[in-house]
Amino acid sequence: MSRTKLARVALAAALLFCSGAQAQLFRAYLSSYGSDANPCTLQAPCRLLPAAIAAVASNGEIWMLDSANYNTATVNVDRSVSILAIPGVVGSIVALNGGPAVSITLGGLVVAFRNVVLAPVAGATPGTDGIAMTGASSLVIEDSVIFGLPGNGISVAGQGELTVVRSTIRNGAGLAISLSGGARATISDSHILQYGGLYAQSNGASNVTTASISDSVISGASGAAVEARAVGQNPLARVAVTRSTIEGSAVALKATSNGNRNRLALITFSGSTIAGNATSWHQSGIGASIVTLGNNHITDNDSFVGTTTSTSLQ
Amino acid sequence: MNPRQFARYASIAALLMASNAQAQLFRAYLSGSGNDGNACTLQAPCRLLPAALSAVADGGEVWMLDSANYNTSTVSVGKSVSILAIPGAVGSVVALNGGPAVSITVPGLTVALRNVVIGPVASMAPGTNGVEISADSSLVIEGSLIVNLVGSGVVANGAADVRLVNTTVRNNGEWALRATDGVAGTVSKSQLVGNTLGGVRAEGLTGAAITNVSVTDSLISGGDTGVQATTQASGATARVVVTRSTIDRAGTAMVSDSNGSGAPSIVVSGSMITENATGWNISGSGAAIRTLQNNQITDNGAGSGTLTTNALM
Repeated sequence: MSRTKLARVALAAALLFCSGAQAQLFRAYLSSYGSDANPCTLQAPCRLLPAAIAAVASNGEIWMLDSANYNTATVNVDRSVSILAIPGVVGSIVALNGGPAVSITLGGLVVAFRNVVLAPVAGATPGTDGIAMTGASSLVIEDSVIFGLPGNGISVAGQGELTVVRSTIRNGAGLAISLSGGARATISDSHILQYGGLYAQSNGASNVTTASISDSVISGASGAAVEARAVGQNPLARVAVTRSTIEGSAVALKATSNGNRNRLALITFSGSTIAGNATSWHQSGIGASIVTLGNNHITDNDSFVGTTTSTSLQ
Repeated sequence: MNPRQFARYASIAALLMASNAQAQLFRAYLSGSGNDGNACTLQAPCRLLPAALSAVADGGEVWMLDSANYNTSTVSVGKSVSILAIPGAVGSVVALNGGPAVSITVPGLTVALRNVVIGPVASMAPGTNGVEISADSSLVIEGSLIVNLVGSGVVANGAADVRLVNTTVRNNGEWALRATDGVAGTVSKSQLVGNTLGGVRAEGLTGAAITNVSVTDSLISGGDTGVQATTQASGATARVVVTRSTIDRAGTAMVSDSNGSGAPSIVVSGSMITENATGWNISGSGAAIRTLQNNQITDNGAGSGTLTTNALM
């Protein structure tokens, strides 16, 4: 075998088998029949997420190969990684024993979840949130389901960035998405059902907390489906909604500030349907605004609080 | 269909196609347990894409039967072919060692990638872009993920047609789609998220070609720029048309610029442009951004230059 051919074969072996007892893997594998004593390769997958995270290289991937639950306690993600269940399987991550299913406390990471299910464990000591991120990292959730949790579906506190695409957050007791302290979020092509809605709070120190919601449905929110709230010193909380439906909720749109014109809470919405809510909008506090672009379908709601303002489409 | 039925039908199909040991396959198969010494049939699948591409007939298909990585270097596609992972499998193609994951340099081809994942190999010498196409060929990417690359998701030059449908391109180091000098591009129902330089760049750098990209029902989030049309050559036209889409959290949502030559333009309708550090930037002779007056353009930093308004028809 020539040296070139040998090198090619060696590279193929590295890619195909992710071997190397010491080297970290570009792709780590999990399976219901795996063992955490294994090296997390395709041939010898691990069983639980912490073992796979320890084995994978920064910016690598973790594949869940078959339908199973892949944690027994809070999963602390400490490196940039994409965690995905292969299509057709259910990659379950549970919240239990008073903690979130997933915790991200470090800054500077890029973490993605794709085709996973975050859920509680019936009969076990309840957990809290689905994903709790406090570090200034980037979190992407695609094609996933978060349901039934006693806490928030996703909580981002601080300067983190959240993107939720083609996902469902439903049937929980807290907030579907909680943003605070300068978090920024993009929600697209997703459903929030029978949960607490999206809450963007700017809580002082001049921080700016923002979210945009596109092509999504928020239905049956127990509180406000979309809320921007400003408290503290010179904060700004802002949410933009477009091409979306908010229905069957206690309050569809809520912007509140605690009485100072430097505390700005703003919701702007266009091309959306706001229907069948107990309260269509709730605007209170002199720094709070709810702005319509004049092209929304607002109908069959029971009441409203405060006023809306309008601005022009461009 | 159970595996036995599937194998029976595949055998019948193979017979109907009058296959023999030498004939190229109308459908070549890959598997994580395959071997490139095999014939790339369903019963004896190959392991890597180059072997399957050699085995398949022009206009045929390559099926990835299970979840695995299917290349060890740039995959050069030299014939019309559809490459797909069967539903339920992750068909991985990686970019490494200074090259793209997939390269198309031959004109006249029709190439489709469906349900594939294109990414880097962490801890190995990085590659460049996800897919490069530099010929007058057609490329369709459907239901796929292009992620975490050093370069761009898709780089197209010349008279190529590129279509991204139901595809996510995110966290790459440059653009999600970079289209240059005559490319016709379509992005539909796709998510271009967190790409460092931005979402879509249509550019006319040399000659008088028309580069045109439409973005429909899609999300562009993060990065330095949402969409950009730029020209640097006399007679060059670069256009981006954005419809029913959202651009947020970018440095500048829309950039139309020239160095004094050519005509770059962006048209936006039915879209939301929000939470960008700068709403738009229009600079250079001939540059324009036109709005159909039905957009939510709010909560951005001040734009530079004047938007042109057109009426809906």
